[in-house]
Amino acid sequence: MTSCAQSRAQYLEPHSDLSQRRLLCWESPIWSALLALAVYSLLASTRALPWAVSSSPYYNYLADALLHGQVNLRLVPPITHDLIAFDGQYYLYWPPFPAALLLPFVAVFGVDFSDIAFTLGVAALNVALVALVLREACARSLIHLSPRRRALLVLFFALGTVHVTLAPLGAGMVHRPTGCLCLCRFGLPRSY
Amino acid sequence: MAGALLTRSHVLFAGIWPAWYLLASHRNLGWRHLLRYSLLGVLPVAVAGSLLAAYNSHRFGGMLDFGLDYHLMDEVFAADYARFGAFSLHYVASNAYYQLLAYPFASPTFGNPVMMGGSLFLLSPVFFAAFWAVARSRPRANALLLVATIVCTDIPILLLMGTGWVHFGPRYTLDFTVPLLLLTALGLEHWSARTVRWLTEISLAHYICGAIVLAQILDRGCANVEMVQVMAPEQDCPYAHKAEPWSSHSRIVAALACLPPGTKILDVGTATGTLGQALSGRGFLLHGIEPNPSWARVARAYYAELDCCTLDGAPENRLSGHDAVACADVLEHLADPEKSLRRLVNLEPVGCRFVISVPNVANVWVRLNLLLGRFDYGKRGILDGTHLRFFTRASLLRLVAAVGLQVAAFSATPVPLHLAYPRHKRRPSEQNVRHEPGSRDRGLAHVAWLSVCRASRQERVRRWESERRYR
Repeated sequence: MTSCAQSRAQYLEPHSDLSQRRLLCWESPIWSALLALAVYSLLASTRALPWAVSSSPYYNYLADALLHGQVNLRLVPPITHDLIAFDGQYYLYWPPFPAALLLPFVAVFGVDFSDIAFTLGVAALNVALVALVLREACARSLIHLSPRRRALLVLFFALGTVHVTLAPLGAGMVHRPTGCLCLCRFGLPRSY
Repeated sequence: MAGALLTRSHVLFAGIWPAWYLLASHRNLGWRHLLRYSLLGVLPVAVAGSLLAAYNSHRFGGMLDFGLDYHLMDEVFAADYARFGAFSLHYVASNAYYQLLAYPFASPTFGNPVMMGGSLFLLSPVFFAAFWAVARSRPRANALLLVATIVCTDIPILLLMGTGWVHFGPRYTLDFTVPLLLLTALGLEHWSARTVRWLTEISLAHYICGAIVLAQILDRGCANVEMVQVMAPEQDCPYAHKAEPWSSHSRIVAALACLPPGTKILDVGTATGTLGQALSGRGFLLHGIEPNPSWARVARAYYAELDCCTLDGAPENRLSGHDAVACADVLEHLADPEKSLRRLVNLEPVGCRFVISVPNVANVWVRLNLLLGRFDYGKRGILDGTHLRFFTRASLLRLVAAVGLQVAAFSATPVPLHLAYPRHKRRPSEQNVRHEPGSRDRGLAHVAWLSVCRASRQERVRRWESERRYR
C-alpha cells in the first residue's frame, strides 16, 4: 500500500495540474469503469437507446430456453442468421456461459431484457479489471509503470482498442476477455 | 478459465501465462503442493469441459460437435465451408491480412462503405510496444510466455472461417488482448512519455471515429457486424418482381388479394420480398421464410415475421396456423419437394389455401431445344441453374394431390416475350390461360411457361378422391 501511494505522490508532484489529475482518474478502477460506461453509453446512444435490445440478442433467447429446461431456442429470434437450424429447432453454436450470466435478468425481464445495457456493464467491468490488473502487476514488480502511464494504458484499452467498437453494439464478444482478466486479477496475490 | 472455455473454447489458451505465473511464483512450495494446487486449478476447467461436451452431445449427438454443419451462414461462407470446412489453412492468409495489415478505409462498394476488420497495430499503435518488450525486457521468460499465450490463442482465430468481416477493428483479437496488453505494458517501460501519449491519442482518435462511422453504417443498413455484402441484394437476386398482369406473381397476388384482412399468409421463399411488397397494405399478417440472409434482410421490411431458414429447416411451430400459403416458384428448388410440401400441408390447418407456382419444363421452347440437343441452364427461367426438380402440368397436379391438397383452380402463364422483346405487349385476351382442375387440355402443356395452382387442404377422405382424379 505504502509503496504505491509513495509512487503516486512522487508522480503527482510535478504534474499537479487539472488535466493530469483528470487523466489519473483512469488509473482508478472505479473511476475508469464509470468513465468508460459513460463513453460507451454515449456511443451506444448514437444508434439506439442504451437500454434497447440489439438486433441479434441470441443469448437472451438461449437464457430463456435454459430457464425452460431446454437447449434449443424456445422462442425464435427476429433474425436467425448465424444460428444452427437442426432437426427443426434453432440452436446457438457458441458455448452457453454468457447465457448463464443472463439467466437472472431474463428470468425477471424476459427476452426483451437489454443485452446492450448488459454488455455495457460487462465492458465497464473489463476496464475496471484492467486497471486492477495493472495495479497488481505494478505492485508485484512485474511491470514498472508510473500511475500516469498506467492511466494511459487503461484509457488506451477502454477507448483505443476494438473493445470500444464492440461494447456499444451489445456484442457478446465483450464477455471474452472478462474470464482472463478475472484470472489475472485474482491470480496475482493481493498486495494492497 | 472455466468461464472462458464456456464462452469461446479457444480463449482457454489465454490462461497459459497466468497459469505459468502462478506456478512460477509458488515454486518454493514443493512439487507435491504444486501438483495438488494444479489439480485443484484444473478441476473447474475439467468440469466446464465435461459440461460443454454433455451440452454438445445432448444437442447434436457428438461431444465435439458444435453444429456447424447446420449453421445458417452467409452464402459467401457457405461455399468456403463446403470446400474447406470450419478450420483450414486456406483462411490464414485473408484472416492475417484483415487482422494485421488492412486499414479499414470506408471504401465504396456498390455505393456502400464497407469495412473489413482492420490492422491491430495500425489502428492501435500502442501495441507496437509489445515488440520492445520481447526485445528488451528482462527476465525474458515473462515476455516469451506472453507471446506464446498470444500465439496459441490466435492460431485457432487465424484458422477459423471468416474472421475478415465487416467491422471497425480486428474484433477477434479481443480474445488475446489481455496478454497483449501486459506485454505492451512491459514494452512501455522503454518508451518516452511523449511517445506513449501521442500513440495513445492516435489509437483513441482511430477508434472513436471508427465507432461513430460504424454506427452510421449500421444505421443505414449498409452493413451488419455479422454480414458482408459483396453485392447489393437486389443486384444479387435474379428473382425480381414480375409486375405484368399475366405473370405468376400477379396471378398469386390476385388469388390471395381476395382474402379478408387479418388473414395469416405464409410466403415460402420470399427472395427480396417481391410478393410481400405486392401484398402489403391489405391488412394481411405476412410471415416469410427465406434461406438467403442478405435477401431476407431486404425482405424483412415487408413482413410482420421473417425466418431466415430453409423450408425443411424451419421449426414446426413456424409452419403452422396460417390461413394461406404461397409457394411461388419454390418447389423446383427443393431436393424432395413432395416431402417438404407434405410436411407443410400436415402442419397447416384444414382449409388452409395453397397457391403454388412452378416452371413448366414441358414448354415448347424447352422441348425444341432438347430436340436440338440443347439443355443449357441459365440464370433464371425454366432452366434456372438452381432448379433441382422439374415439373409438367401433370406432375405438379400429381404432387399436389399426393400431399393431400385438392385443386380449386389451375392456370398457366404465357411465355414472357417482353423479356426478349421489351416492346412486346400482349392483348388482354391473351394474358393468361385458365383451366378448371379436371380439364385435360394438352395444348396447355406445350405453351405454358409457368403453372399456377390454387388448392386447399381437405379432410382425409377427400384427399384420396383428389389423388385418384389426377392419377
